[in-house]
Amino acid sequence: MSEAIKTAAPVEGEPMPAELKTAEIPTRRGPAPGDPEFLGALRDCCRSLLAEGHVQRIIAYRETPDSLRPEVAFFASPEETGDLVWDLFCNTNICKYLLDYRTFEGRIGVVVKGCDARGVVQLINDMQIPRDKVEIIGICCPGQIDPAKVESAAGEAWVSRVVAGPDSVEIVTEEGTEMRVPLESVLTDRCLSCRKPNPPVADVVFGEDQKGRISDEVFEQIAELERMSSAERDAFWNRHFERCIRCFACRNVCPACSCTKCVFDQQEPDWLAGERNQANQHFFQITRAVHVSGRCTGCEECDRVCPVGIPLRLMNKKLWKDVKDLFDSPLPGTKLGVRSPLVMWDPKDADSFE
Amino acid sequence: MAEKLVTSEGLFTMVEKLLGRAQVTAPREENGIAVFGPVNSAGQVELDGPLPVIPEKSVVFPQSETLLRMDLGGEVPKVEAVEPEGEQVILGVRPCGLQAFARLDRVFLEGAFVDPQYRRRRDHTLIIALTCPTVKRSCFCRAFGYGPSDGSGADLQLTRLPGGSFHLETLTERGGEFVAEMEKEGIAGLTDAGAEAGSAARAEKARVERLAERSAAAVSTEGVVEGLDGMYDDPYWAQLAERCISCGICTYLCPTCHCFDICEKARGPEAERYRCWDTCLFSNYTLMAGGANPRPTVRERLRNRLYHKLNFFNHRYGEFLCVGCGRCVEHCPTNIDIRKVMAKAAARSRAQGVSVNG
Ligand code: SF4
Ligand code: SF4
Ligand code: SF4
Ligand code: SF4
Ligand code: SF4
Repeated sequence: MSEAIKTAAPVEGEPMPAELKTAEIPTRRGPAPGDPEFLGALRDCCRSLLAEGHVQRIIAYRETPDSLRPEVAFFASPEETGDLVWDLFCNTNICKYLLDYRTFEGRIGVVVKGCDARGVVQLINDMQIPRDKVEIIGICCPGQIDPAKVESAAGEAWVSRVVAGPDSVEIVTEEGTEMRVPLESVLTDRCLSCRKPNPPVADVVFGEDQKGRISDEVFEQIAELERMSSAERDAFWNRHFERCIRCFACRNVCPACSCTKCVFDQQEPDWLAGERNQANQHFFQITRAVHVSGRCTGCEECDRVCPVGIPLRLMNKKLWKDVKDLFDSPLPGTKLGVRSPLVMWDPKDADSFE
Repeated sequence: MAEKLVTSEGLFTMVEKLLGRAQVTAPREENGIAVFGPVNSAGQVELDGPLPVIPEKSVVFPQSETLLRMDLGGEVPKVEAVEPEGEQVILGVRPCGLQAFARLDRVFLEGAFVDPQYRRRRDHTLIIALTCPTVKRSCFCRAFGYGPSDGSGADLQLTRLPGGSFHLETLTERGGEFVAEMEKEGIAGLTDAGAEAGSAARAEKARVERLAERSAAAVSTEGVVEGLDGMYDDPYWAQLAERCISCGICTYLCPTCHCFDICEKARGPEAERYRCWDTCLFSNYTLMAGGANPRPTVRERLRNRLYHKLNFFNHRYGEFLCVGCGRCVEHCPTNIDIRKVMAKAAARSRAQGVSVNG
């Protein structure tokens, strides 16, 4: 079956609006994170975009007294950009906030890492926001740090700040003690296996292309799941799904979840009833995973925000692997103008429509 | 009250014994995350880990529970109230969890209506507290007038001693009965605590209280209620809501959040009425049958949660509904921090004070 589909379903079958086919990456680049000039240049860039009226809003991050947890911030004027920040603690994927600007009159700048940028592109490809409404300020990302890992490395001492080097980080505590730990030991999980840290599409880029970290761990785990009997696999997922508190944070951060009325919020009929039984827990997880498959950008933001540690990435990456093998399509969000094979049809499809 | 000393093997045997006669809930680790959940072997219990993400409340207020069972097949429908069954033990409850139980008690047990499900569960739950082995930066219990060694509200309290054993303190009659029962069973490793163990426990408690002292300096409840009294229409809520993704993390992980929805399901003639956790952060929470929604945007919903924790509950019950466990602080995907809201309200109250007094 897979062969037939592969040859018959062209991924770029439908014509896309012309504005989607613009150049993907500018050639001139700003300084890289880690360069002493970087933050100043990023602030200048955002300030002048606002001052010159190219954008009316910028979604980025702002410094807070807790240096491990900068806030997502929305900048409306050039004067506000003084505490705009981008460092190795900007974990939050901000692309989804673009949906709050669907009816905003004006352009929006977004400061994005590789994974966030794929979300922006996916929202554009899914016709959620027009390309020309977004100014993509991309950063080639050296990997982000998980504040919880830093805090647990510091033990009982309170962390005051973290100075990141290329291979290790220095943790400075409130008491003034310093310790050095390998960068990999405190990187956010998704960054440990990130193959695409560079924004695939951008209007401004900071830094030179990063190599990313090639780890096959996730795919090894998936292969292990594939080898299990269906009863074993069922037990594996049951154990995880049972813990799901149905907070919907995974859905709310996901750039592939862009429905204005989500099926899980419908009350009549209540497709997903409130009762936390096995059937409902599975229904929720599997429905979401299938619905985002083919559009899931692999950003792993869902995995990061899940408070109870459900390995959502395994499910999403397994489905991505299948879509890729069946349809030979690029990773969602890496190319403008690409429709997901699962949301297209072609009258010449090898399978009949009856 | 009696003080005992129990080795970790002794505690293990006690948990094994308990498993036969009660549903045991304890901290356990799942995929690297600490959660409170049912355990079926003593080996699953993980008392040295961080504060569990899933709070203690699920023991007395489960995510979903059946209230009525109905048979609609006959001429006259049969309706039967479902009572929770059996005995429960919750092991490793932190002081903030104990405080949270006390808040939930006020909501579910005070006043004209006593919640029967909650009452039954509460009465049949033995609470074994744990002195916090560590204090996280997100912990701010001290702001609410108690600390990581405060066992009030528990039947028994465990304190891990530097050597690895536990100091076990009996705090209620029920706790005493439990210890007597265990002694009758002849648990190896359960002995009377001598003066040395007693003072080691006191030293450990003093140590964690000192750790918590750091947060007391950073967070205060002074002026919070008063400040919020005058801030309901402040633009601040819209700014905060801008980045809130309106998920259920802060409410579902909160040990004192207690909202629920009542639903029904039917299959053939058999039907059930159940309740399940609900959250004021979801738009459906206040959605009316006709389609109107009095809290149409995240601003109103987030404001509601924060006021309930820091203002409304105080006006009704004279205490905060936040107990400072820090779960919402640590797990909010967009770093919305209730401590900052407290600081903002306190600052507002100071400013008002200044203007009133000239
Ligand atoms: S499903 Fe998860 S990994 Fe995929 S796009 Fe959504 S948030 Fe990212
Ligand atoms: S984030 Fe995790 S706990 Fe919340 S709904 Fe998604 S899978 Fe469930
Ligand atoms: S956890 Fe954070 S983002 Fe989620 S509803 Fe609460 S405040 Fe909003
Ligand atoms: S509001 Fe936050 S800090 Fe306060 S009790 Fe609830 S979860 Fe804990
Ligand atoms: S808030 Fe206080 S009582 Fe709760 S876990 Fe932290 S230190 Fe312990």
